[in-house]
Amino acid sequence: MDHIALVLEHLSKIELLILLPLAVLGGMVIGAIPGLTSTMAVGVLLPFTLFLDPLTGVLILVGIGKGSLFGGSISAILMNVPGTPAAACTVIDGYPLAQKGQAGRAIETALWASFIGDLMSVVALVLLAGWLASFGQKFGPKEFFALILLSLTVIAALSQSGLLRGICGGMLGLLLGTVGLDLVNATPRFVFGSDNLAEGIPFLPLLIGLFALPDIIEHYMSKARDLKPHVIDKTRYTRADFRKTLPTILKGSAIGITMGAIPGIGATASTFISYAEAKRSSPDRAEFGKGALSGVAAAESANSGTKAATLIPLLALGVPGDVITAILLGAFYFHGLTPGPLLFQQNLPFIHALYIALFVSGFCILIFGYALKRWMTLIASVPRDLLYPPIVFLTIIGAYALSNTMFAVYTMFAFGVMGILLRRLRIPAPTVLIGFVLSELLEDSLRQALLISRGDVADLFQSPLALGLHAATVIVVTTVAYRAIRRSRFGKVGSAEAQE
Amino acid sequence: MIGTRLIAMSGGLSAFFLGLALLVYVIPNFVPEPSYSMGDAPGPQAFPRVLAWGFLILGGMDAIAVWLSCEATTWHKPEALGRLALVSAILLAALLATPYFGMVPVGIAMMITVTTLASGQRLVPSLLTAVLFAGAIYFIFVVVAGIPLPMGELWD
Repeated sequence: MDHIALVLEHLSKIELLILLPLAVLGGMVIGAIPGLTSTMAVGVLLPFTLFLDPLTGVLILVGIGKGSLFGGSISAILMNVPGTPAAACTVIDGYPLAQKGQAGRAIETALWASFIGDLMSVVALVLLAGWLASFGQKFGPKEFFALILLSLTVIAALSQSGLLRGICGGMLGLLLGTVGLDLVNATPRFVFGSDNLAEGIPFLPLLIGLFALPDIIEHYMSKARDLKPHVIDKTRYTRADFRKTLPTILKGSAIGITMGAIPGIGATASTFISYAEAKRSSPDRAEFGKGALSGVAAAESANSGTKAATLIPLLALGVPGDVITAILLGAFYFHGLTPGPLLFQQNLPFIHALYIALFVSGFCILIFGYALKRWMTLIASVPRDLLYPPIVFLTIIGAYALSNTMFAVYTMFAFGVMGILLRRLRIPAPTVLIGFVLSELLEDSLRQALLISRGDVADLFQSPLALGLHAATVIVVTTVAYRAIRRSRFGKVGSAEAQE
Repeated sequence: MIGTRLIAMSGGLSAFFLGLALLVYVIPNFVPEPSYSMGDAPGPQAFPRVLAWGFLILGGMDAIAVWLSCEATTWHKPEALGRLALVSAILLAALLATPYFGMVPVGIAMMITVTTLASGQRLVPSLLTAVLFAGAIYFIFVVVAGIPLPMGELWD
């Protein structure tokens, strides 16, 4: 009874009841405007959530992320421009449907696919996170070291810039994480005589600088024109449509959950896998690309299916799989909570309240999706030129509000410059952020393991679990390197043939 | 061709030179080893050194791989770089001006300047958006949450 009372106490906070639906709604609006990404939104709004209680703060960020996944499909369908990267696949069939005068039907298909994908993902989280956390209790320092190394390698390997630059990005994050006072020896590292750096590089300015500012600067560099969206018509997603697309939605959700639970794959890749599978198994294969409802359903169910699933490794083991979960990990730390097996032991009511709120937020998507339908054309056509300067102002305020010093603002701009440079150098910024977040945990695990083994590096490979994780790391590196070499060889042959 | 290939190699080369700088200069000078021994535990320099070697090796490998694959890339067009310089200059000016003029007035000026100069939007909607937004932020932070924003030395 005490447990239920504690869960209800978490859930009955008035700010949660008001702010969670608003966060989902805000996420949908942000996702619907091309150029505004959920990463940008979550990063910019994170400072403001730190003044709230932990559950509300974390759920606002999750709500924005969930809402934006569906929101991305709005501009994909109405404007042929994915509002978020994860909606790139929705464009393929969503926009042709809008051209045929069936934008309303396409939006409702995306809405139901997102809703079902999201619910299934939360069910998977409830079923798997606790089990994985109890398994994680067997982890000692060397197993954690091996696990983090594997996660970082998988994330780096799956980055679009290739394995080497992905790992370089991860290492840059790890290096940035070492700045400040070394907790074991109490000696300063890379502080360069600055008192401000003694506590390390602040997380928020780094996050906002790396992810929000470069997007805005790139917008002004490319001077992309705002497009005119299609108008929402009165076509509906009927029961017959639902029956026809349900198998695709269920399959897409399962693919999304599987891909989301593996660090590094993320929503975008899962939508393409789901779409390819839907096309392969569909009797109406020829319709795909010309306005197939199943195409929209496959993409949307998969991208929403990843959302709660990405929380499985985060909550159970403390390992983030993408940028949003890395930001969430930072938010957990800010609130004094450490995701991992201990969270399940010490804060189970918090976890259960989180599960319930995640279910509720799924219903919010469905309700707001229908409520907003007639306004979607208007939302998608908001000019970015008017939106970006206030966002820059908000980033400045957000960075300042955390520490009440201009140092955080200067740091944010410095990382903004770094973010632009990283894009030019094609080093993936998400791996930098994830490396930064995991740096302390990785170094502590390594140092503890070596302290226990009295400096014997071979001991890192002694436990079967650690050995298995290291073997998986080697397999990932070898496979990706082999594929890259093969691709470059075939690429050369292909280009030579083309020249002939 | 060599110029564009060098641009393509810049990611790997940057990592390589970062690793080199860390090993030769930055770690020895800015990560002091403690005067006492912690037994067999690795010192504060150990982890950064591992990372530095990683940059050196992987950065070098990446640069060589790009060179061998004949991968080439191009830099931005001059007009895009011009717009980057303009927006950067506005943001830098805003940063430098904030301690003197305060965050809200500078924020309004920055928003108007970016929208009118960099985006070519008309002055009236830019002004309205900037003033309304800055007013809302001031209200939420200073009035509701009680978080003071820098008011500027000029007004003190």
